[in-house]
Amino acid sequence: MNLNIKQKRSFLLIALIAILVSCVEEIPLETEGFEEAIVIEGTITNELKQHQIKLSETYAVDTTGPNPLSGAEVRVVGNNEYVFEETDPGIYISRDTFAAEPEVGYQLRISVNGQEYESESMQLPDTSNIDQLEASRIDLNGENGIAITLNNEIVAGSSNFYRYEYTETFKFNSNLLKVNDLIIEDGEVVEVPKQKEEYTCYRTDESQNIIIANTNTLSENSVKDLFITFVNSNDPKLSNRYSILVRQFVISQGAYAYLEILKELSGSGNLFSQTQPGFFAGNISNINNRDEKIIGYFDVSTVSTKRLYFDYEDFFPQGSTRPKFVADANCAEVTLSIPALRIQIQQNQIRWSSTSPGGIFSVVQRRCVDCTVFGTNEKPEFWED
Amino acid sequence: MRKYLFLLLLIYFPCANAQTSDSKISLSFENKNLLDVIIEIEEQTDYRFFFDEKWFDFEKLSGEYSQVSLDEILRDVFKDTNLNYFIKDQRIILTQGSIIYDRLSDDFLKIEDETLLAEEDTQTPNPIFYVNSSEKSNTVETILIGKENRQSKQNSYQIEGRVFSKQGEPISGLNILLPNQNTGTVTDIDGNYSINLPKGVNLIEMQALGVNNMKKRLVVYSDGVLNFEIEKNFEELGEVLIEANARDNVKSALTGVEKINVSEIKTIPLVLGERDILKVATTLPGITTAGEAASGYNVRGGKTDQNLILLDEGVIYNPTHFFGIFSGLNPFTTGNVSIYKGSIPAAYGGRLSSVFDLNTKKANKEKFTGEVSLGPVTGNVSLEIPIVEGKSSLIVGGRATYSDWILNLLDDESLKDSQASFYDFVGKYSHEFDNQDELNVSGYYSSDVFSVTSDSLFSYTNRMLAVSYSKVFNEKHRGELVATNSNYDFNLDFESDFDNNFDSGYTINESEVKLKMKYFHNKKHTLNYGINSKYYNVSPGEVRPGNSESLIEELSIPKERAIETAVYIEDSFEVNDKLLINAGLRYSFFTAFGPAEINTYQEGLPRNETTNIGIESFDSGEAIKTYSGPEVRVSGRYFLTPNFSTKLSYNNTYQYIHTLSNNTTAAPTDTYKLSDSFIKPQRANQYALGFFKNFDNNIYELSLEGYYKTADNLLDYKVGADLFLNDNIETEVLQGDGKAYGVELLLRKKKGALNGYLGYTYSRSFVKLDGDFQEERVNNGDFFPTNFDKPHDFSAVMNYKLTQRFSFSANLVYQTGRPITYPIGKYSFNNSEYVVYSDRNQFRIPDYYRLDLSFNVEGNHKIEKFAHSFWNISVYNVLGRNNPYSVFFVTDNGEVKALQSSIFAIPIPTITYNFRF
Repeated sequence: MNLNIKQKRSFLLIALIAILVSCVEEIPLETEGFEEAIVIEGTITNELKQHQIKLSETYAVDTTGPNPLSGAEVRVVGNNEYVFEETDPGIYISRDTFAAEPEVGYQLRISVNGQEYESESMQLPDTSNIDQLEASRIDLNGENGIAITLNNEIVAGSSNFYRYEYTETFKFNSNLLKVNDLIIEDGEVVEVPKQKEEYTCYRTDESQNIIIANTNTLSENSVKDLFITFVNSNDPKLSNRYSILVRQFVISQGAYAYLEILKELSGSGNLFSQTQPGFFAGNISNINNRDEKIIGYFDVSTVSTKRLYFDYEDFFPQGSTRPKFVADANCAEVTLSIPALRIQIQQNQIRWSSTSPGGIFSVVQRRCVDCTVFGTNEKPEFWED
Repeated sequence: MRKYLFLLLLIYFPCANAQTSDSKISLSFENKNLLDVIIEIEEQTDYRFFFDEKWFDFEKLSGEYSQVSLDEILRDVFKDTNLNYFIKDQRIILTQGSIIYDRLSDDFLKIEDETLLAEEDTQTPNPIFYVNSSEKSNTVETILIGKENRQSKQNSYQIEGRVFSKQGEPISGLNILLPNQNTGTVTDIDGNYSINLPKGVNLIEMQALGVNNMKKRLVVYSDGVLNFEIEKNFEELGEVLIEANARDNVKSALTGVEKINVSEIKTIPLVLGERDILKVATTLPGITTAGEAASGYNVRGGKTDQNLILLDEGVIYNPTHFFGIFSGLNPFTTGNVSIYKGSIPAAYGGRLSSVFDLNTKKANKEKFTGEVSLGPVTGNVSLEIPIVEGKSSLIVGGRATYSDWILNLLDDESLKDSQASFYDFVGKYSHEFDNQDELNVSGYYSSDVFSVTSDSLFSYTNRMLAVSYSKVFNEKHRGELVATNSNYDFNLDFESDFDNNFDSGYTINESEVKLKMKYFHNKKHTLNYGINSKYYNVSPGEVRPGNSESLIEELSIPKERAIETAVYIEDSFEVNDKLLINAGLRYSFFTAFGPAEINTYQEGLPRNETTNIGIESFDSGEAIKTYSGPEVRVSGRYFLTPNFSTKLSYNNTYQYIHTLSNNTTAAPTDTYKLSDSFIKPQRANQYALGFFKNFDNNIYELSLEGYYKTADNLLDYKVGADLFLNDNIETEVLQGDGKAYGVELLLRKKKGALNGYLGYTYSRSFVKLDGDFQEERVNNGDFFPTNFDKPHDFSAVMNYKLTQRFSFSANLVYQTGRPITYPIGKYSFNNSEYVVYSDRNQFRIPDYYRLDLSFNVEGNHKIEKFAHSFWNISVYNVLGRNNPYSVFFVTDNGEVKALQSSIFAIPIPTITYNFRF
């Protein structure tokens, strides 16, 4: 047996191919029958405000939602009965402001389409405040970026289960700062000074992932270095000034378990073994038909929030190229024939870039100049520069 | 009288003048069949052929001869046929199989002498004559046993002995047949046989795969001992893929038994060229996996934890590598494999569905030999080392991947962090004492390490040690004492950029002592009886902080301990020539004992945190819960005709150990849990009926088996159950009933240029989870298909031998897609979309099919070489069928996506090289 090194290497190459063979691909989501179910999202907190309950129904997998459920009678019964009124389709807001109080059982009662639904009675858990919200530049799974982590206060009580939501707001600039605009006046293309702020904008994104934590497995009864989110260094979110508001909900163990399953079943899972999916019940049921599948969990939580700001320069060297929504390469000037230019202006597709001494207009794509394509030019009320 | 005449005829032939063809002829033909060639020869010469056209097949011949003797042409033309020719004057007489002698062999004369002797010595009414009837071989050795005793009125005598290879290894599974009487016997694992022969001349045939067929003529006048030495026949190895001893399938009383002769699976194309015993098993009816990368096997609708996998009597908990893509059992050191999926002998117990009984080969005691195999994924070496010549020997086998090394060679950053490697090692020492006693010591170790994401490292190991001493007390009584210890552990080490690093682990360890006795009472009764007892020690999980900064709290779930004991007795009762009954009873006991603290729950309410009302403490050694029950194992065979039998069996089984898994397919990360106060033992009943027929001299085997199974207390889990490091497993489990039924059809062709088998199974497998409370019900408490319910399953495993050296093999597999739970709606929740699932397993993934091809080249036999080589060039999934392994639904950036994973979606070519010395 005389295998020389070359032959061995070719064997290895084959092996390599094999390791890369297993693949995951996206496939079209097909409708394989449809089942209606009521979806209830509702959390009453210790904040004094008008609380909100959201009702919707499931929709077919090949359609887009949401599918709000209107016309329901919604009440939360604690010390008092709080009536909720539908303000938008499927959105029910309490008529009165109230805050959940400790040691009171709250129950959600809904009647819709002749059916009565009731949640289990839930109580307000202990309070825990966010102690520290931190941004740090790290490498995560081969990507460089900013990780947002959270620590909370050590609590004496038994509030061990947490859910987090966050709102990211960031300031950004468009690729090009231009002072003039082109408009059509009496059929003529005319250059006028820019009327609208299009260079500096703000954008707000809500969290979509389920972020939960518990302190059961930790040595101290507090959350330490909890990973909230990660923003890649190339993300335009970081390009100027970034802010994140994190809301911490202390939740019941039941709500935690519910969200944990939801998260597990909707997560990417493992290529080789898949968690058995199926229906899992929350704490709401039809009082006349316990077998009806109700999606959602009614919970009573204590809330604490914290906001963090940082600038691009806090983490990246001055003078480095800032990430943008549009690559600079796509922002080259072009000149168009007048009829083409007119159509483009009417359709709001382009922006003025420069005018040649001969009066010829050069233009660029609108998104290179107008930041409102990606956000709003209104500065949020809370914003601190 | 006719025979006698024939003898005279044969004697007459020496006087005839044969081989007159001195003249040279020239002949050329291309792609002609034999008949055309013969006509051609007749036209060119004065010779005339005598034959029956029916003997010719449709093979095409080509040849070019110039001035050669006719004899030479004929030798060439007939070399690949079963025809012999004889040239007499201008006539060429063709015979099928038999050779017409033109002179007597030395043997023949010797035989003649003995016959004459017999004739002279006896005045019995039935003088013993024999003639060389239609025998293919002209060198049948004749052996005289005893002297004829005129006083003896005995009509049959017992001959026993042992069969060895030239290298001194015992040959097991060798068929010793009396072709004229359609009876026979089979050598046992140590090569021993015993057979009753009628007085006088008996022609016996010895057949087994991997040895040269041999015929002996025995002239029997008394009981006697006869040992044989048989030559191993390596050329034959590729011929038949899976064998049952020639008539075993029709003869044995057991239903649902599959035997795999491991040395014969090498031509079967398998993924990445890894010879894999258990993957071959899945081509047989009734044995499936949930998919290409699913660990574990589903036998006759049973779950993956219901198989008892024994290597040299010791339990192997996870016989898979690399998730489930390869099996962990070394194909080069394993001798034979029996899979009991229907009747389970009473000696085995503890699992519901099947027993995989694997035995490591006994090493060659005379000569140092070895085998090396190089494939793209692993290298494999096995050695057989004689220690004391003829007495003791050692076999060792080891295999390791080189994939880890490859991954490290790569520049790709994301791959550099991932790894997947495994190795396993097996060894067996056997010592034979002068008094036929035997000592065997076997050890097995396997290790797998893999990481799917860069922060987690998974690893698992199997460890097994078995010591057995077998003793022959007397002719009738034998016994074996076996002690085994098996250990399986699984670890997950997590390392991240945040202060939550940890190491976690799971271990199960079992020690068992078995006493297995065999008593040959008489020809009609053979008894097997014994006792076995095992001690389980399970560490259900622990977690430790990964480093000093880690905030993870150390946690250890208390150990579980239990003893499982069983006594059994089984009688194999040959009621008459046609009816054989195998009746066994096993009684098993299981006790879980302390120290332990067991949660107590309110009666009449679902078990969860809120109904947990306290803790009951048990002292060390105090019984927590005891279960026991009888297990009946009855099966019978009835010969409808000598080659056609029907069998009926009933089995019931208990299982006290369960896997904890909330995955749709088994994974190496699954752990085991013992029965306790809450988790009752699983039980199953199986009824089976089969018809078994051999035809064409046992070349073809046909079997049709049907079974119906019911099961109680099958373990399942609530959706999203958290099973690892959970102190209150009982709040997550569901127990329900199962039922499974199926029909299995298997047709095997054991010999010939084209050989192999076709199997078709129609089977269903259902489970019902109908607890007292809504949260304990799945699919409204109705029966629903299990995750591995694949109604139609067709496999063809074929080998076509071009010549002794070259052969083609092909596998074709078709299976119904397995059931999955599919979304039947979406909803928005928390700014994201999620799916709502159908009832469990209401839909199926697309059907699975796959074709694999391989081309095999045996090394040259002509020259005595140092090593015998074997090349296998194979392509797995030739059609490039993208068989989905699973379909799952994720919420990514707030949107639902359907993803499909497949394991080997493109054709995978492989070359493996193997040599033996």
